Amino acid sequence: MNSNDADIQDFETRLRGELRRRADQLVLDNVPPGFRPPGRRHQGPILGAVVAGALVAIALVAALVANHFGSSSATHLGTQPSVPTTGRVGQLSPLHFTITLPATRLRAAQNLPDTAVTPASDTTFAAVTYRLPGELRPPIVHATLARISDQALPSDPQHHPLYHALNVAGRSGYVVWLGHDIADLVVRVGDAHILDLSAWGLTQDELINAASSAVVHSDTSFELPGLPAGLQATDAAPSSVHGGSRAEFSTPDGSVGVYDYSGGLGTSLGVLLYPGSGTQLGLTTIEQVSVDGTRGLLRIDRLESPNSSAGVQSLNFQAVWEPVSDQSGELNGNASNTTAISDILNALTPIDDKTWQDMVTRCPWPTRVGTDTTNHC
Amino acid sequence: MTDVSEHDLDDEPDPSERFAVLFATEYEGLVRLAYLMSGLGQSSLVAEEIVQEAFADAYRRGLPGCNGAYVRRAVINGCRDHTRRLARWRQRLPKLVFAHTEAAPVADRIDIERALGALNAKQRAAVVLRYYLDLTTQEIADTLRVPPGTAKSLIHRGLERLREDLGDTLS
Repeated sequence: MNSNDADIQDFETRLRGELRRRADQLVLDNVPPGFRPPGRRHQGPILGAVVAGALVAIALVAALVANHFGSSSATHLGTQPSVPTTGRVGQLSPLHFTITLPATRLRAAQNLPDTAVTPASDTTFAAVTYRLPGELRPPIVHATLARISDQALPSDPQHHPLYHALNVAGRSGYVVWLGHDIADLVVRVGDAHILDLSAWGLTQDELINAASSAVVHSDTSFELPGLPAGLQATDAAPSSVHGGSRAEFSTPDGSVGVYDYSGGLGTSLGVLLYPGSGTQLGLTTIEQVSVDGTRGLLRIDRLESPNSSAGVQSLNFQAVWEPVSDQSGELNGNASNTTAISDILNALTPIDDKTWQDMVTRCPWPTRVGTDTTNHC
Repeated sequence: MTDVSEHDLDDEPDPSERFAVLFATEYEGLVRLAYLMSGLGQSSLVAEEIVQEAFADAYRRGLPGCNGAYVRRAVINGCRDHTRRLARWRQRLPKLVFAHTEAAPVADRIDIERALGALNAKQRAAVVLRYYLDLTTQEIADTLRVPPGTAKSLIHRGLERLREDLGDTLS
């Protein structure tokens, strides 16, 4: 063996060691408890993919804040927008706090007092977290903070809390959401300014920091001080996060928003600003959703619009929430007089693995899809 | 007379069970593989997501043909797609400058993460499969769906590039 061969062998040995060392550094504290195949008779081609390993979707948190927001505190949302909202990046500040997302651990609803959502006030926050269904897929947390300032809540059967929250938020307000996979939501709102940070390749922590530090100063400006230096936040940032379809929202006044909705990879965070009124909302997903005890299937009807601009076809969606039990999808959550975004996010607290296991065991989600409405929980 | 075929069928593990076993035995290792493949600087959630997508896809496509090699290939593809997607984002937003890259030490500290990232997707896959999973050239060729000679070349070139970039910095 000549010296070069020896060098190569030596390098190979060190490379093996380094790769293993790096791989071993990865701490997996949220390994799914196991694979549970979906119920056979419900294995539709799309549903099967969603359900593929999966079982339980969990928790909804709704944190509602009554009256009188925004006028006095920069940490709270502003008042009713009257002009199109623009985004800007403020001065960087130290990160306010960090939420780690140990995916199996978060279940916000448990630790928030139950309060029926009856947004009688003109301004309400709703924070929503839930898990994507599944034992196979570790639970993924989305937090949605919706400013709700429209009392005309939908009274139709589309009672899914997310629909509910976003629908209301879409009428006049904004939504901040963060999560690992925004794929299952698409908001179609008339006047939508959507700031999609997910296209920027931020790390999970950066996304969380940005979202958790979001501050709305007024109807027309907001800050995301948690963004890394140098990022330029603009409205309607190009968004192609998940490698699939995307939707563009254009409005009569020319404002445009773009959002991804396809399934796939990536960490996503969207800040959605809805300055308008009379908006229309749809969610798209083919997904079982379990929110705060409500089980059902969110069925999406996709309606493609012929409108297009900037080479992106606009899409409209209509979502139908089909409960599979007799429980309604009322939004439940916490009510307090003042709640900042960070407070809500801070409320997302861990659950232990045993609790999660118990829930998985008790609520085999796929058996609850379709015609099987047996309440296993 | 015993009905052999019926007996065999009785002994045949349920496909779902086999899939569950596959998941239980392969999941964690594949996440670590995806972690190496998709960029060590990424959150582990990215790797987990890739692996879960691979399993979900495998399940959707049917249980009988599913095995570890199949899922591993899906993970490799998922990592490749993820890397490409990231590259597209950054290409689209060239003005974005990330704080952590600006603030990075000027010293030319090239670690394994960056060195791997500098390889093309197939080279990276080949190198990781060889030096992390210790797969044979034939197994790597099967996984990457390339001829064995190509697999060998990918490993060789990837290794050479890593040697150039890393030199003696690997401990």
